[in-house]
Amino acid sequence: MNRLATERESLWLYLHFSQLALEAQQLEAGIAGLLDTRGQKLELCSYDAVQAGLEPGMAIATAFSICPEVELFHPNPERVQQQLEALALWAGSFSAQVVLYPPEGLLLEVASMLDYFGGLNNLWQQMEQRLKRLGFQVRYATGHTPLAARLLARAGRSLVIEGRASHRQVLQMLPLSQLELPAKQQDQLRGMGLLRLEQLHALPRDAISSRFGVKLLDYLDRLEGRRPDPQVLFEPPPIFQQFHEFSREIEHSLALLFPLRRILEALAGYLQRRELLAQQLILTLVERDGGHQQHDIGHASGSADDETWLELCKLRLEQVKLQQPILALQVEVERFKTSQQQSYDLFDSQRHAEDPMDLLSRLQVRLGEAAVQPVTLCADHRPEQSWQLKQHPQKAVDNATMPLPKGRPGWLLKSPQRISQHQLPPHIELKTGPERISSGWWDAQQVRRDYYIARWADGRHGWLFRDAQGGWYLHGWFG
Amino acid sequence: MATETGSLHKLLHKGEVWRGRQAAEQLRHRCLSSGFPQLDALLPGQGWQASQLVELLYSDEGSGELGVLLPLLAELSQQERWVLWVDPPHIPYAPALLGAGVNLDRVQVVRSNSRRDRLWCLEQSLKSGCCSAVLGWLPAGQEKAIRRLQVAAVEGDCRGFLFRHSRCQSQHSAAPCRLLLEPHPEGVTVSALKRRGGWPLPPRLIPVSPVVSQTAEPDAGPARLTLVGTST
Amino acid sequence: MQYAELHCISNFSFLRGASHPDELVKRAHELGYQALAITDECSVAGVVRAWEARRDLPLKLIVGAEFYLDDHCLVLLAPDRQAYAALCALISTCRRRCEKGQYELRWDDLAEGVGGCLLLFRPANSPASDTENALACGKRLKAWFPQRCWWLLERLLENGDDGRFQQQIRQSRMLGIPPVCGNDVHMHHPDRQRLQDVLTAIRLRTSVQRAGFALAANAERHLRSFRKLQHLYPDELLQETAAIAERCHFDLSELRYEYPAELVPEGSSAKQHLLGLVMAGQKVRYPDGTPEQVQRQIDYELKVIGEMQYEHYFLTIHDIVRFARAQQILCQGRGSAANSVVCYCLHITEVDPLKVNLLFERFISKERNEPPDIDVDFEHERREEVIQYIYRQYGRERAGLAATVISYRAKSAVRDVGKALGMDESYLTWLLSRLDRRDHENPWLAQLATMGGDEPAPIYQQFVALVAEILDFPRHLSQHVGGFVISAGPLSELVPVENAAMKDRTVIQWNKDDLEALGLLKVDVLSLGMLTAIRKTLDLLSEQTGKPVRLQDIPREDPAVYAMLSQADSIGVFQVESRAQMSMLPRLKPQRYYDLVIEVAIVRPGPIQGDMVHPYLRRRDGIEAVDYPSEAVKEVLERTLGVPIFQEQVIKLAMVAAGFTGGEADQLRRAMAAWRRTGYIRQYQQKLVDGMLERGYELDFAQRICRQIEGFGEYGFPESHAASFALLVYISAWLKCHHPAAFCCSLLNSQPMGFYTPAQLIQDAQRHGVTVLPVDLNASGWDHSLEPRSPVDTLPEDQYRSLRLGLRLIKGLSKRGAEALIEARPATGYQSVSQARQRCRLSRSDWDALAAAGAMNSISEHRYQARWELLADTPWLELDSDPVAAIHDDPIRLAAPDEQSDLEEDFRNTGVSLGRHPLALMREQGVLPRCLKAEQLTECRHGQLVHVAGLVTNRQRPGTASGVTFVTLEDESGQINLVVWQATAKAQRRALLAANILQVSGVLEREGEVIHVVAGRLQDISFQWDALKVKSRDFR
Repeated sequence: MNRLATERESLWLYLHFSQLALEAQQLEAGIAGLLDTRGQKLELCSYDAVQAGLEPGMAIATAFSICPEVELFHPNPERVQQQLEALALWAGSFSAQVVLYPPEGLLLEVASMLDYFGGLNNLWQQMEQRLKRLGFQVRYATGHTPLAARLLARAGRSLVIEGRASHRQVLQMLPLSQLELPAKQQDQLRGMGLLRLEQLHALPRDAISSRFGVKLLDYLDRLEGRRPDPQVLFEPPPIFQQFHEFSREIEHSLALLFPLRRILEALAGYLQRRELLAQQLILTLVERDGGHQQHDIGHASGSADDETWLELCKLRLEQVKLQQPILALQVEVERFKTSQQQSYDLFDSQRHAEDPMDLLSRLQVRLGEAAVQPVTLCADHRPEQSWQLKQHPQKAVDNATMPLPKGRPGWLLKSPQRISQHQLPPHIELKTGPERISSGWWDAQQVRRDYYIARWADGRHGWLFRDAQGGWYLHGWFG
Repeated sequence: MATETGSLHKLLHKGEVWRGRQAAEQLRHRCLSSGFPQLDALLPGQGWQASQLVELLYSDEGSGELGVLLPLLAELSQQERWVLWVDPPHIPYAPALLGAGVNLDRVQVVRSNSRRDRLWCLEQSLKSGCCSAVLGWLPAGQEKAIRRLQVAAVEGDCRGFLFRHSRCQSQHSAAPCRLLLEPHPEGVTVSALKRRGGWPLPPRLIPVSPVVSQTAEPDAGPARLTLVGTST
Repeated sequence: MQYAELHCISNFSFLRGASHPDELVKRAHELGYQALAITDECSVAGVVRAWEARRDLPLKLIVGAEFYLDDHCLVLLAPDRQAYAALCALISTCRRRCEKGQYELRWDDLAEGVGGCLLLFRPANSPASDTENALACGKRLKAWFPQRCWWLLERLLENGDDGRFQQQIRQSRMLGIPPVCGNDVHMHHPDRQRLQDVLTAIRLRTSVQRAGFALAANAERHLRSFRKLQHLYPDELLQETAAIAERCHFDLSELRYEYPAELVPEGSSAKQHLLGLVMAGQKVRYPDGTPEQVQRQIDYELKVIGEMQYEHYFLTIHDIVRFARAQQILCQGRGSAANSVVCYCLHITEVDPLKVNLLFERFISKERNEPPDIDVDFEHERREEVIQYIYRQYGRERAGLAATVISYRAKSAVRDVGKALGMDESYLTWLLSRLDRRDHENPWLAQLATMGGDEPAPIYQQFVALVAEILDFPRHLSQHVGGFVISAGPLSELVPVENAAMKDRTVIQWNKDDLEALGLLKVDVLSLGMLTAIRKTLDLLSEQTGKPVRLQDIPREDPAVYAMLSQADSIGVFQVESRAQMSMLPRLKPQRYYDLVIEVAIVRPGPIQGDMVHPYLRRRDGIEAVDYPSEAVKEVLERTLGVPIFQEQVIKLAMVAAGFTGGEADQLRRAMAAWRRTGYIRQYQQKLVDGMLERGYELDFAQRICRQIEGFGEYGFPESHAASFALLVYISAWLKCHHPAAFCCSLLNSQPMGFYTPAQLIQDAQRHGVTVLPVDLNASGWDHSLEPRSPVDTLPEDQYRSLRLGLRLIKGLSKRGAEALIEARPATGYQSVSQARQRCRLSRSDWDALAAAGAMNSISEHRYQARWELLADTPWLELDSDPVAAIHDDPIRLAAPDEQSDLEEDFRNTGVSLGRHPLALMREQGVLPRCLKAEQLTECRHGQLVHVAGLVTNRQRPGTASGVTFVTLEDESGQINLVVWQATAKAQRRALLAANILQVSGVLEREGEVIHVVAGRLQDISFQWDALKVKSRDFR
């Protein structure tokens, strides 16, 4: 909670990013739709999708039959929240007091910024310009109370005005359906033909409270400024870190610029709000096989300007030739400079020697990311598929409950080794078997084998199999 | 495992176990039973000592080199710290490890790029204090390095196991404990070439064969082993 | 070598077994097995199919079942009838303990030895510590199954298999339980491994990629060759299987089924009793004495019934029908029973068989040796009374519903297989949306194959192959709509009984085909909404006239009725109210009862696809000459002018023209019913063509008959069935014709039923001059009712009542609330909202519903005011205080809703509006320029370009006219029928699929009385309605 300046007449600006749930996932404009949580109907449609004849509420099958090339996304609330927070950082350029209204709204206190920007119109002009560059669809409105700004924006009023009286006048025509009332109460109001705020005003307060309860009156009072309405301000985190996972793979490095621009805009807002300059930006690209590419991009004197940083990133990315498609990108800034020219590094301190994860990172730094990996078990009958170096979330199994195959060797050969005819019995004595493994028809690695445990003449035990063609192979040693 | 150590304490208490010059020092370290009484008898302190580098010498994989260690690894992997495998010659096979009771969450496999990296890696891990055991595969002629590794193992309170070819047995080694493994129809024979706090001992047979349970069954008649056609 | 597989599940162990029972039987025979046991998990649902497949093979079929208990596998085999009964009883017990689809076996269940069943025991595959447990179980089982217990050894070449094999042999020796081998068969051939894996994934709701060790490690659970068996098992074990098979004698053909005997009075025989009932019935049916021809037929029928010993069956059905009649529940037999005079006399059917050309042989024939099939329709709202009577009369132990096997069809197969292969659900939805399952040229499976692109990914190819493979695989048992099996003894000794999803229902594990194959009798207790509506109309008429009006009081062959039907004025009339029927009526112009029989049968996919409609009409109108290729054919086809329309005619044709024997013709009939599924019919078609050519018929004629048979596959209509239905067509048409208010009222009171919504039925009634009054808390009952009309009305006397809508129409109003409201209603009616609330304490939602429906308008001006007043926090007064004093005038008056809002609320809250039609409003606002009203279309000429608009009330794509979408629009003057060709539909998909209000420019086509508009341009003008709303609100 925060107390707010009361001398000045308060003024708020609300930004409603109506398509954020979709745009947060969309890489670029196109025919796209967001599915509902059950994955059966369209919840949101991009501008292009509406042009193509799609509309929210449509069933998937209908959507596809009207427009087969539509790109559909499942809801990803986490991603939307991230994006909203990024926008809150961005909004730091315009106001020191930003309030998050998840999932898709931002409230900015602007009364105290008017002097700085030279009036509301100037402020709005600058903001509108920056909003355009971001490329999000936005509805906006000012309000003399937080609630007024929010409701007017959501109602699509595109309003930038000052003054309590003028706002109150606009509110008169506000449809009651825009009020965030319980669905039941909405129905009741509609059911009496009460459609606009002015109609409610025409009724006696006690007639309203006896029918709809005191809560509704309270709500109306907050809306119109007759009651205070304290807000919880958004607090930017100590370091700047933005992670953006793409909904599809990126194959050209320059295609990263679009999402990057949004992140850098957020960075600019972040820096401005905290009165900092960024000196080094770490750009990490996550590749399809899980590997990372890291690019450290520095600015010797430090900068808070998004255009500068975008230019630097662009220069770097032009040199990058992607070996693999990119799944996600992360931008991180750990080194800042205050405007007072003091350099500091958040993570300059001594590492904690006893943290087991630190050892692994140290090894990875020297040997490469892929050089250190855990061994995991996979539920698959095929011997070469039943283990894995990396943790693979899809196939990871609960070791405790899974039936384990018995009689498996401690060593598995990286690839089965052909055994020539003359090595076979009697040189090799089959001890147990056959265990027939025939599985994996669904991918390209189908296996049809008979496995045996056998003893070699020197007393060692090996694991070997015969394939469907009758060839013999060694596949492991009982070490 | 708990009862093994329990009985060890009992034995020590009764004074039935020979104690050498360094008995006092040994007692400072906890020993963990190997899971095989025959092997424990070979090891000073009746088990694998802490903070110690052990050399396991054998000619080819399949000589019981994992079998003798698995019970220990199973125990150690219950701790918070890592069990690190540095450049194993084959894939440590998860089903077998798990079957032996090893907690895979604590196991990490490291692949180094060069011999230098490998030694660096072994040393770092041993002395980091983050590992309960470090397993490494080293070629011949690393005597100087082995000394450093032993120091690292003590520093990091870590059990180190170096797997080397049996032909290295004639070379000098700074490892306090050197064991020679040789395959045997019933398992593996282990000879202690060198052990701190004891004399070398004659080979002992350790039953680590994968098919023991089969042959031990009386009355079953000869196992019917036939090749079954892959057709129907 | 002798071998019998004793442990084998079919796909009736749902989502476990990967082969159909007949595939297993055939494969076992090919491999030279001596016997095969079908041992589905706690089920015998698949054995009848296996038994049928085995019919001509020298393979012994053993009936058994497997059970899992504490992870141990127990296989029970039935050596004789008594053991079989015990097995069925055990399965019933295990199933009845659990919810549908589950079972629970307990050790105690086995203590009595399950009536002599043989037991194979395979202990759980668990760690050695459980050896003791296995031994203990083995010991116990040996004691319970002396000399009938074996240790089941199965080598499936799995992990640790050989060690376990040795251990098991040792354990069995220790206990002295003889070992025998089996192969836990899940599929007839190892090629089914893929499908087996997919089934496992479906069962576990995962994908094959993620199913891991839940999948089998290999394909060894199949029927194995002798060579392989000999590799795997010692000879003694193999011989033991044959020895066990030798001990099993039970064959399903031994099942004889006895109908309840209690219906026969003491001292009388079933035969005598039936004769007595028939004679009593004759007196009613033929009050002037039974014609000699009829008497001869009755004697003949009774003789055949006697020879087949079906008396009890007829007595049972008679008993059910008698109960219904005593309870005033309308009922009527349909199906082949209508061929029987005996059924007519027993009041099971209402059609006098002699009035229609029916065949008793179609009903019962000695040659066919197949049980008669009697389906009886009851009023849909009261069928449950009949069902509960049956349970009461015969007891739950002796009465059960037949099962319906729910199998994989296109949609479920694509969905489940796709998911099992890890495909995205929205992708599957997309695939399904693009499949045209009605396209006969290009079957949907072929379409599916092409959707993978020119070079489909391997996984896609497997997907298509697996979808094809899984089709027709059973998924679960459901209950048949009304097929009852009633037995003399406990039913569970005949076939297992399990719980249905519906409470208080039990189903048996066999479906209707299985029962038929075994020659077991069942009676179909079906429900028909129209019977309810007819009975309610009769009740209203009785009330109105003060004397009972019965079905038989309705005059027959009334020309006014036929005149009405010939105008396609048939909304609400049974069967002939659909759009297709409506367009046929003016062409067929029915003049008599038999025309209705044809009308009912001809507008079916079968006759339409077989191209029978046009020849029939041409011949009827005298445009085409009626000729017959032979005298024999003439006899069969004469009554339908040489065009086969009924299923019976096709069968008869096969006999007289192609030389089919009675048995063959009957097989043809069965193949016809199932041809799409099995494709068996092709072999009969060839035989049919050959037979006809041989007998000198022309190829053209023969091929036409074949095509027609194919058409019959899709719901061909037997004449007897059509005859029963036609009777209801006539009766409902008569009621509509002469008592439109009462008829409409009853239809509304019988909802849901029929083809039309209440709104459409009401509009139709209004067009027929019925005054419809709104629902009103002071005037309406729960049901819709008739009210005397005001004296100023001058309509004919029998239509002197108007229709008052009932409270049941109000969405969200509870029946209890409505009853309380009526109960407390003062003689003068409620005077105000507050008075109503004082007298009657309804829940808030009930009050809201009443206000929303406009039912309080008579005391509160309009909905808005009613709601406002309802929300006033009026304190409850004591009952004895003066209510009038408590009524205070609320000074606040809210504005009334406009016409459009009223209309919307009417639709939203009652589904019906008595106000102006939305299209009338739109027309008045001038947003429908140049659009003609439906009624104006009759004045247009053929080929004229017209513009129309209307609410979209129906969109359908009938299977017969692939590519054409029929859309029905409704405006203030009536219905407009649109025809949308495929190309048009494709180009304007969005408007076609999504519009609520459609404006159409198109070409008018007329054929006689039938008018439709072939759509050219489609325009979704739904937004106009919303625009109207905004306009009317913002500019007041």
